[in-house]
Amino acid sequence: MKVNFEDERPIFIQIAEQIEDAILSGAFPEESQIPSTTEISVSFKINPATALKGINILVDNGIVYKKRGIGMFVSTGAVEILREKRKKEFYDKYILKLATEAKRLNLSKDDIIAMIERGLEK
Amino acid sequence: MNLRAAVKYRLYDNKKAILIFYIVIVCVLAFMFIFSATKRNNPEIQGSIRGLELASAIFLFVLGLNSFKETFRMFMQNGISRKTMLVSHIACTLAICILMAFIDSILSLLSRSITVINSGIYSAGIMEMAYGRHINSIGTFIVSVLLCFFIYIACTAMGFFITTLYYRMNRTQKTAVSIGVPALLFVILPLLDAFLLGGRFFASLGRFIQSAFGSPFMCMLSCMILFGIFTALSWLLVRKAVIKD
Amino acid sequence: MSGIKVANVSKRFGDVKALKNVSIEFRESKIYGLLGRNGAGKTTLLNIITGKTFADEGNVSLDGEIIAENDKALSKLYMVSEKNYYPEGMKVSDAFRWTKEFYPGFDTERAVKLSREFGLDIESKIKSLSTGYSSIFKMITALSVNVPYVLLDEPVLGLDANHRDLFYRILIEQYAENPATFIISTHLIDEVSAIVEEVVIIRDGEIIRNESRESLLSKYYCVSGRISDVDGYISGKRVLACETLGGLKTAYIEGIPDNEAISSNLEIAKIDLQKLFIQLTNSQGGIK
Repeated sequence: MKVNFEDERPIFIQIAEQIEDAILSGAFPEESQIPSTTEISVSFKINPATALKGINILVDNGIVYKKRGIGMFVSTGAVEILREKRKKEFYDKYILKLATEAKRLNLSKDDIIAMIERGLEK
Repeated sequence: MNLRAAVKYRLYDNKKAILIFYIVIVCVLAFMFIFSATKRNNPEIQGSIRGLELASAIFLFVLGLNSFKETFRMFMQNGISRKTMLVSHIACTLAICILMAFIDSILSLLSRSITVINSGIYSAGIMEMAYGRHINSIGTFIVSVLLCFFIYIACTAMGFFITTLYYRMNRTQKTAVSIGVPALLFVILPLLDAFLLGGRFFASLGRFIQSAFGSPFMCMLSCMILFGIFTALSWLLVRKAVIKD
Repeated sequence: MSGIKVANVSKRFGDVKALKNVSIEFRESKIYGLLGRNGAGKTTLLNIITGKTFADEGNVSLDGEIIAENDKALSKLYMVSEKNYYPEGMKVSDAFRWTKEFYPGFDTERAVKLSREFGLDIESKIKSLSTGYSSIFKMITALSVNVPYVLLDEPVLGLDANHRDLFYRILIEQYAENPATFIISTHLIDEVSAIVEEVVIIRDGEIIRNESRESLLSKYYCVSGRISDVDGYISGKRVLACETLGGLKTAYIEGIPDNEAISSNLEIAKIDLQKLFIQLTNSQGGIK
């Protein structure tokens, strides 16, 4: 678990995303407890306030919630919420980039589709 | 409270030196006793034990000399203000000096009994040496303790003053003082006095010292004043002292 | 009211002005990175705050009270420096004992436990410790002292990578559980970049930046690509510096990316804190 300094986006957003990834992949199942702010900040070697900020984004989006005196838990339905969110972002994040690069390389539509099919088979 | 911790630290710091000092003193005294006991019937052997208190005074002067630099750094590291540092020094000085004055007066008393063992040997403490009086009552014992106490605090304060002075001075100033002051006192002044004043300055200085230290009471007063002056000067030096690396 | 407030502090050493009218506030419970080149004035500032030396002008207050000669304020402050201020012959265990006397909040148990974790022999004499273990000893003391303001001047000097890693973890854990103000002065900017919340940059005795890390980094970016493309983009912009490698050029710019002017041949990226620091404090120009 590492923070990428070169990345455009602030650290707290990267933290939020990595936790989201873990939720989506099932590493943090719904209704299970996620690491505390302290554990996250120690693990990533970042300021606890930054870790807290990242977690708060997830709280605001209903992905995780706080059980007083115990810790942070993954909300039921978090996976669905995240999938929807990511689907919406999929076009901007991946498709546009793909199109730009494909144009740069002069790939035809058929080339691209063939590559996508190959990738999906994996 | 901070002051308490500061005093505690100073006492801890000085404990070892004081202990060693007294072990040496007691060994010397024990040796003298044993020696005189073995020679009791030999009239050729004569001797004396004197100046126990002088040894303590010199010891305390040196203690004063060592009470600044290292302690200052330790106190700066641990959040002690210079004010508290000086107050703790005064408190520690008073405590150590009264203790040593008491111990020394008792040792002085005890070592008088050496004459009982061997009549050729006697012991003289400061009371006997300076003022020709013997400790033969509670009253004179208390006077002896107090006398020692004031002499000791004056010596400690003088040592402390000298070390803080040297700490504050830069190299040129240090050289100037180290050479200049002794030169002034032991060469220039005596010469000037001899040639220009016909020796009158040192004569009157001698008389002044006579009266200032002539009696136990005057001695105590003079020492108290000296203690006050040296301590005040030390404060002026300490309050602007900075950590030098 | 709470926090360390430095007000118009100036200090000179002979002819050299080490600090020029410096004013800054260190707020409570935040981790500050105090960055500056050698001789910039970091240690002088920290020494003035802790009373080791005096400012020529200005003053410093802590939680509303002037720090100088103030035992109460001084008891809330602890600093570790590169230099060793412990007496000749003092052992680590003695030092812990006395720190506890002067700072009753000192957690001796924790200090001993940390010493074990780092492999520090507490019966060894402080003077005989290597640079690395000397730093470890001081750092353990600072992390066990439990005061609201802790100043660390080059805390990881001489520490190997493993110990540095351990130090940062312990610091973060300590801060997460007992928030206090930590002011870390260091040359290893990359390592502390994510740990500090606020960044203070000193250059030639003056504070040139004092803001949150995020805010500072959001104000700069770099652009790279073909020399001609980059030159075309940067005209009229506030450029900190440029680097060229063959036909490629990278320009460090103050501001936010001008999306209209960006062609697909140009790559935009954030500047990391260390690179930004270098550009801001290089002796050849750079915009202040």
